[in-house]
Amino acid sequence: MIQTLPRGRVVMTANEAAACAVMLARVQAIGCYPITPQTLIVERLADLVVGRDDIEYANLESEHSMFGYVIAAARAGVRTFTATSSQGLLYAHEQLHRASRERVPLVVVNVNRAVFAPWSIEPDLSDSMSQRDTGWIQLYCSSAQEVLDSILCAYRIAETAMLPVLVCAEGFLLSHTSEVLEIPDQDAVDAFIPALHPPQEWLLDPSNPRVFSALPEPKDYFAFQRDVAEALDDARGLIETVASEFTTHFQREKVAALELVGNPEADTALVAIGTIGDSAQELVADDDNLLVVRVHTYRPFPAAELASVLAGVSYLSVVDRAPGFGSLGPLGNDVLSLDLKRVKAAANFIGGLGGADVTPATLRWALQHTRSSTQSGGVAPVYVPEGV
Amino acid sequence: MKEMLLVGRGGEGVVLASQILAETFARAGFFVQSFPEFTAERRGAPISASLRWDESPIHRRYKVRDCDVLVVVSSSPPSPQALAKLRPGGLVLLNRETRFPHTGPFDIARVPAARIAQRHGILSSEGRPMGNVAVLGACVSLLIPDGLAFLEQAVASRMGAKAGANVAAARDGHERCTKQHAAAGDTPVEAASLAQVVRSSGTPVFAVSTTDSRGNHTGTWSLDRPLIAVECTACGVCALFCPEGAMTKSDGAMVIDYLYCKGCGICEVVCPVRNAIAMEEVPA
Repeated sequence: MIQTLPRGRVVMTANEAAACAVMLARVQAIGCYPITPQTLIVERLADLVVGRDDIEYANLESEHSMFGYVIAAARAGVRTFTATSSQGLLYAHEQLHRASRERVPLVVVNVNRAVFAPWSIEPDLSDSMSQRDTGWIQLYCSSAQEVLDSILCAYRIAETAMLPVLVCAEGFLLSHTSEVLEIPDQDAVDAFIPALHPPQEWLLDPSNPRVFSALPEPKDYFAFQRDVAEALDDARGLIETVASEFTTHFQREKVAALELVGNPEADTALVAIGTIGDSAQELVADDDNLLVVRVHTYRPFPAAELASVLAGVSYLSVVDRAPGFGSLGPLGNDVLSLDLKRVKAAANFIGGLGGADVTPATLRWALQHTRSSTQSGGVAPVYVPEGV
Repeated sequence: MKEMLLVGRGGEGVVLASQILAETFARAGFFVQSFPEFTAERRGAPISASLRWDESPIHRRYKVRDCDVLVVVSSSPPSPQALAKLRPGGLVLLNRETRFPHTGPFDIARVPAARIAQRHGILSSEGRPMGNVAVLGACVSLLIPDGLAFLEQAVASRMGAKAGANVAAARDGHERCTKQHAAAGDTPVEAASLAQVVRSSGTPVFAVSTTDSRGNHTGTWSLDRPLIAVECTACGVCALFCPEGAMTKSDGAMVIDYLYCKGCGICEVVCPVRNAIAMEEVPA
């Protein structure tokens, strides 16, 4: 049982790193549903809050209630945290819509695991990708360090934009993998994340009872939704600023929207998300005509930045780790709808579902498949064949 | 970059050993990854954990398929399937006192980890010696020059109250690791042929099994199994208490279905007849 926060260079899993980040961010209310598919994150937090009467740690009866709890706690003016995974996130779906449309600055970690049926506890992105249109900022990580750093940034982003942030980390590949990372000092984090001061008129105030989110006129309902969309669009610049400040403050590079590795002048590009984007870095070592683009911020989608990065590319491969039933994969849909005039051939690949490996060999196969095709836009995704 | 697989049974501390070794490599200045097999871990079931280490940051985010080092935490011989994952020129480290009478395209080292654990009183709840940390001592002597101090620090930081005996076991394992040289009479392990995977004929349309759940042979997880002796009077008390329904009376004698017996030993405890049931160890 850990009761004190480790510091400096340590070996830990992304689950443990997430718990450390949450404590460093001085969270005041943690809601959790501690049954499968919950993760070790809330278990570590339960250890770390022992003897802390400044933190409320609540066990709820479901993930749906758990999200309800953090929404209400945030509305009471405190900084909150919860974590979930797979079916747990799906069960909370309607609360996700509520959180963004009520402009609640939540930070939640989702450990990405495959979705039933059939049963699997292995990683893929089906759970959070299917929450794409709920109005949350979504950040996908590729190392335990990035999970920790992104949680710290997420509180700044959420509380400035008044939008919820989902920090995503693939199950096992990150959640259960011990690796080397740096844990910053409390003082440094305190200087980076200011105290929470939500707008007064937004807060619950027992001395000033009002009605929240009641039935508006259609034109007003419409305007509230448009405001959420605009807030998400505006968050692009904010995410960039926070990452840049993080890099300066902690002297450690923080990716904002995209991580680029390889040759920026290459005529071949591979766009991926999460850990596949990290594994893809191995390809760059022996292919100087390749640009690997790892998408970290998935919502708001960095469309302009991607279009600029991919402007000179002739061969474009986009790799998803979630199915695109009846269409392209989620990332494929977004990337292949960009106006990329130089692209001669493009394809969207779907691999790694339910923990299937995506190795450099898989990705080389995908690049070759795209180079030998003549389609300049995706009609249907290519499911990576078994054994590739 | 080097890759390692650690294999054993659930409950032998395989995953913990992998994490301690990762921390040891990190303390020695390496970048590391350590992760368990991507399944639910169960006591007694075959378990593996993976480790990668390198002088540069590691960008491989997928399972270890082939390895440079195979570490067998259990005190039983490695399965042919595990040996088949070892790259040519690799190293296999065995928890074993006696010669491993086989040869192959790999080096063999061994450490009497079970005996070391026994001596230091490091025992599982069933009283078995837990050789995991002694095996790590041997790993470090083979892989990290001057690494013993880092291992001791890692054991101390991860094992809390149990650190003292385990640090001693790590030191003994470090000291008592021996490399094995080929000898006449060693038989070759034909790893490659054993690595052949039987492929099913395509994925079915619906995820529906061909049998009911009795097709899950949970008895394969057992570390021990009961044996019925001639003293048995077939009174049937064991069948009443067996939580798996694995004991039945047939033709006036008790019969054990080892496909489902998990070796819990309740039958031995509840048996009213002296010497009628004895537990014996199941080879891994």
